[in-house]
Amino acid sequence: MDLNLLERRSDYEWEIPRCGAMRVPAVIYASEALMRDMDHKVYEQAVNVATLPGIVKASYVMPDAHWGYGFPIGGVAAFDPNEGGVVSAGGVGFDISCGVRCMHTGLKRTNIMQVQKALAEMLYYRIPAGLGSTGTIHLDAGGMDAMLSGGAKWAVERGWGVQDDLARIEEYGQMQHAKPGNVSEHAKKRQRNEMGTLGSGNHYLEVQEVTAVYDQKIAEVFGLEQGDIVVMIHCGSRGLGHQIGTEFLKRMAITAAQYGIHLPDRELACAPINSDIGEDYLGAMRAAINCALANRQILTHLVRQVFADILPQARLPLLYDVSHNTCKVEEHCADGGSRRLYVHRKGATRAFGPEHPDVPEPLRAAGQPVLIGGSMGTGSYVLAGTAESEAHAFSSACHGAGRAMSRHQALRTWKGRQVVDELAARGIMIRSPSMRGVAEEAPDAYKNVSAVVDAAAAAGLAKKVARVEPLICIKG
Amino acid sequence: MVSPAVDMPHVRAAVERVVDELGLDAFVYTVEPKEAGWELRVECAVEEGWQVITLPVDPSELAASLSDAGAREKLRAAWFPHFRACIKSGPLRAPGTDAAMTPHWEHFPHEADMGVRGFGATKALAFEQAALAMTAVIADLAAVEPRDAVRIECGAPDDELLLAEWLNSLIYEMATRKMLFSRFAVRLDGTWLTAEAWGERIDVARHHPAVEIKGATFTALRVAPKDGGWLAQTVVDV
Repeated sequence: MDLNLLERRSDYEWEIPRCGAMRVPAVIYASEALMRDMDHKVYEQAVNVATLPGIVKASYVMPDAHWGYGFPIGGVAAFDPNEGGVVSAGGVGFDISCGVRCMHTGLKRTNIMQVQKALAEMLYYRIPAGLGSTGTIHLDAGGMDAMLSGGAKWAVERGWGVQDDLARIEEYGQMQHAKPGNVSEHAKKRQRNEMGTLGSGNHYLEVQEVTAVYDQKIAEVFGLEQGDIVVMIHCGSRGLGHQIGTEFLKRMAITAAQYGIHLPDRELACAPINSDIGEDYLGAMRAAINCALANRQILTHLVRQVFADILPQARLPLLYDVSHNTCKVEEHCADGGSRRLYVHRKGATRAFGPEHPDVPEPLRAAGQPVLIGGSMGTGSYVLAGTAESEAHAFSSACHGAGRAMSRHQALRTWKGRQVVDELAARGIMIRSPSMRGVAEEAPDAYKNVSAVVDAAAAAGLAKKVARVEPLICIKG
Repeated sequence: MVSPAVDMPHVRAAVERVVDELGLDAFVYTVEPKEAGWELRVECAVEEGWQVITLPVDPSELAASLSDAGAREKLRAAWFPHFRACIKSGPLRAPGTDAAMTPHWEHFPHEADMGVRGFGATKALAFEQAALAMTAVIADLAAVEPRDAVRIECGAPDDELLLAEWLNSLIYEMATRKMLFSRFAVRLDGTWLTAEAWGERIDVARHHPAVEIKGATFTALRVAPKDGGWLAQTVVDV
């Protein structure tokens, strides 16, 4: 990105001043090095988002941002329904409520290394991953609607998890105001056999070791210690979310003009929050959030079963579950008062600070856990929301490493087998149905996750708590 | 009599390639010098019987087109009006009656995902090629047998939204039938699309599917004339 196009507000904050059709400025949080490497498309997309009706304060961009669809991936934007604000299917993305969940195990590295191969094989065998895989749960019409209304709560009631899990999930495991009736039969059919599946692309399940603790006090509240083993799952709402995204993107693109909305890019397709189509989408999108929460809950259950067979001494309570592709109604301070806003986070994680009422009681003093998935075989991070984050980007932080190289280029650069062997030499075991998929997700195809997290921390978006590194990776 | 300066194997190969890319059901041809110059004579299958088409050709131009995609594109565009009756303006081709589709597609980079781009003498052919490009994001096209047919119909307000709708319909069929497709026959009536896609059930051991496609996006979405033919492209989210 050409830095001459921006005004530098601080070491980690860059502003694109309001001009032309922009209703608000755009603000990017990143280090100078990340900014220089950032695609110019991010600039264009952040500017385009700033032109949408009802946008409040600014169009925000996280340090891991890259070229997305309409919105940049790593984009945050809040809209006020009382000022003609919009909801955008592209601003949420195809994989609605894609997110990360982290479980404790009570184990240490030596426990894992004794059974590493058996554990990897069993996880790969029991967790359906990759294209064409189906779960063992098949939902009929009634079951589908119950799942879409109930989310992780529905899954726990069916025996896939325990009550204590729910307090450790955003929305306490159940997104309110979901409307299964707004979800098309196509979307439901696409999901019928996909509950409890990991998916593919950048989705994964990892067994990880805590290799660094940066904030002892918060780590203690989160229950993390150096050398602990945790399990992290990255996946979303599967075929159902993809289908809802696809259908509403088209509907909103066609109807935008009827609502007097000028779209600088069709991918920005949106509708007024206070419109039939806006309300239809919100109901369907919330149902998709429940689908993602239920899916990660079922995967959690499958992981627990595998550990019970191989490492029966392990207990796997949930640390936390975050979603990073959502639109949620939240109260935020803006223009001198508290306002009820529709906050889009596309590849961005909610990061409520300490004492926020939506952070569950045992964690409240420390702030919300913010789970950042790194690229395969590098590291991931646990952060915590900060009080100052509210003043930055509506309490939002980054979501991952962010791609630095296209799949195309990655495929030309690496062979899947070579990536697997190199990681194996470092003690990391990869299992995947596709070597080409592994090559496309090669660790070096991503930005340096540490640089992204350091920038997020330095900008005050979240606080670094711990770093985790993989020992086993199941890649879809 | 054939001049020794003319490379006949290359001329024949070029004719076969261009005619094949036009998407004829079945054809026989001769290419030879006549009094007025070189002539291509093609008999192609139409709905009820066969039709004979003769065209003047330049053998050196033909031979050169083998290694020059732009030159081939020009030939296809020039020949297309003459073959209109033979090309799928009539009934859709039956599965397995012709050779595997000649590829005329490419991928283009998108930072997180993958761009798919198809070229064709007609818009419908470009849509078919874009679909081939999409399957190639997932697996090696040569490994996907065109065994079973799925019929697809969809419509949209304009060409570009129709391309997204076509690819999204295929994504839906792939997801719900657990299939991959490697042959396509598209017919366009304005912005209404009727198609058949041939493929087979996903076999992980044989196909090694690299990724699952979530949806066809509107990013870099374009359907436009190009070099006398058509281009159809978009980015797919994986």
